Amino acid sequence: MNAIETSQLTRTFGSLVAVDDLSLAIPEGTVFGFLGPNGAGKTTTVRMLSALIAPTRGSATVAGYRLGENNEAIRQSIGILTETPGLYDRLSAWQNLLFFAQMYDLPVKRASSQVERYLRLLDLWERRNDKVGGFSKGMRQKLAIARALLHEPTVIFLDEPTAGLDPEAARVVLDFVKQLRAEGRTIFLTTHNLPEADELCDLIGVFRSRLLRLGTPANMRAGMFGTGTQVRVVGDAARWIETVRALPFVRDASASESLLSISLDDSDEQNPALVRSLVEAGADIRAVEPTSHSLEEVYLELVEQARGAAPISH
Amino acid sequence: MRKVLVILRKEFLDMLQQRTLLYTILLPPLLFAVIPLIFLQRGGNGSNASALHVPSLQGLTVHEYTQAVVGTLFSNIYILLSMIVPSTIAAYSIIGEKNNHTLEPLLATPVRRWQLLAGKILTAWLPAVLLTWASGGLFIAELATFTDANVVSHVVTGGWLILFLAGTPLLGLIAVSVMTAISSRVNDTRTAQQLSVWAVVPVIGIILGELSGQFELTVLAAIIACLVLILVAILLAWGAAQLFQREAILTRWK
Repeated sequence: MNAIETSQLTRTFGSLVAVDDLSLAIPEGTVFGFLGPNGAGKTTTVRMLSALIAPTRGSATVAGYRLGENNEAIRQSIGILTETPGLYDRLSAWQNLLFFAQMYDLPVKRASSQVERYLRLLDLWERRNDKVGGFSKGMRQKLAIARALLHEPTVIFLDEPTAGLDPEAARVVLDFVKQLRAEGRTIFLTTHNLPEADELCDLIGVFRSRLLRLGTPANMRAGMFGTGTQVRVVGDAARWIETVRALPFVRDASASESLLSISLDDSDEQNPALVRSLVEAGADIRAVEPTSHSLEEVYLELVEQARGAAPISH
Repeated sequence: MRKVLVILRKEFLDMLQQRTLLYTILLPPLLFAVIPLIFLQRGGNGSNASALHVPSLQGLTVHEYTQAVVGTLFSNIYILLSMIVPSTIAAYSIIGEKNNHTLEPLLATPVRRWQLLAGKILTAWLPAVLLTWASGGLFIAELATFTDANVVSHVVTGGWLILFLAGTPLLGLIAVSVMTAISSRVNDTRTAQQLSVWAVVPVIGIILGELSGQFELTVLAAIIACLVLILVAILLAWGAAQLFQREAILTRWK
């Protein structure tokens, strides 16, 4: 079953089309990475899916509830980490969380136990009575994540959860997201941090007002650039470049000192034939290693292509 | 209703942590409860207040007349107080929340719009009405203690009592509604408070009209005034509710 499903979801502000014709299906338990440049419409999408603003047209189902028909049930079933933590600085960590737990309809006793649970889980228990205004950015972010989880939502929206955090704090947050994934929750992750998306996400959507590409990180890399192999030979690799390029399944090849970098349609299938051809041509091979393009390269390529297109407006 | 109380509790906890806000809220009612004490005691010492000609105060001795004029002047301040105090609280409560970016996480909860709006309005309105009544109650007690019964009956008239008890809650609601509208366009509490002063101007005009003898605050006049205030309060509260929608707050509020 899909935790989030959208069909031609569109939102305009005057003549500006912030989100255009977004159709998505995110299965339950998936970590979905929603990638896109600033101003691409990611926050507008999250706001629509969390029933904060209405779509101009199109439809969506979140956590089994139809947007526009069961907005209150949607808000009850989701947790959201907004771009800025948005905490009450003059209140303590405990008071902040208890307030939100009650806003999510938890009875006082359960609210207290949930607050304690998440403060302990996120290592904030010792600071529970301190005012949030004195917290570091990492602590505030952890507290905002705790707030999003108090009512045990099945779908969680995380907007830039590690933005501005030091590596240690970012690692704590990432590990926590992994823990949430292990619990089978669906996570809609908006991020600019591509290695982070690569590490966490099962499914990725690259977005710039409209969905440019949707797929698993591996499929996306293969679809855009194919797969790659690096062959280290004895001596100058440039001697074998024509041999490699002559092979029908090779997309591209380059040589640098003793290293041949070869782009293939499917390295698993084609590596044996590649190695055989090189050996038959007389190459002495030291090592063969698979390579892959980073998600960042995929993202930049897609966004660059989209940038060439005319801006969307009516 | 439970969520409204949860919001109220949070707002009061937050308010208690803001010393500047507390001083701003508590000082005017306190001052207006204390200052009349000084003037009423000095009333018979040749105060120039007797130069004012208030038709409703005819038949009093010069001493009583002076006390009654001072009393009438102050009695009107308590009507204004119900607009000053909630404006200050609402400015901090709504604009503060806007500036701290706490509105979006709050709007993302399953809270209903009316619950959030009711929570915000009550946060500003409840202390304002209670402080106004407390301050005005002290004023009446001072009048009863330091002036003759003749003066008390001239200041604490039926018309004034109706306006004080029934009109001030309505004026408080009007002030909060105006502040909600201002909050949707302004990001600074001081600017919002300055703008909200304009809401007080019509009330000042009416008070000056009464003091200058243009009209008398009879029981009938007070009832008519309250009926008009009910209408204005309903209209402004409806307007505030229209502005206080999730989508409007997130996309149209500046």
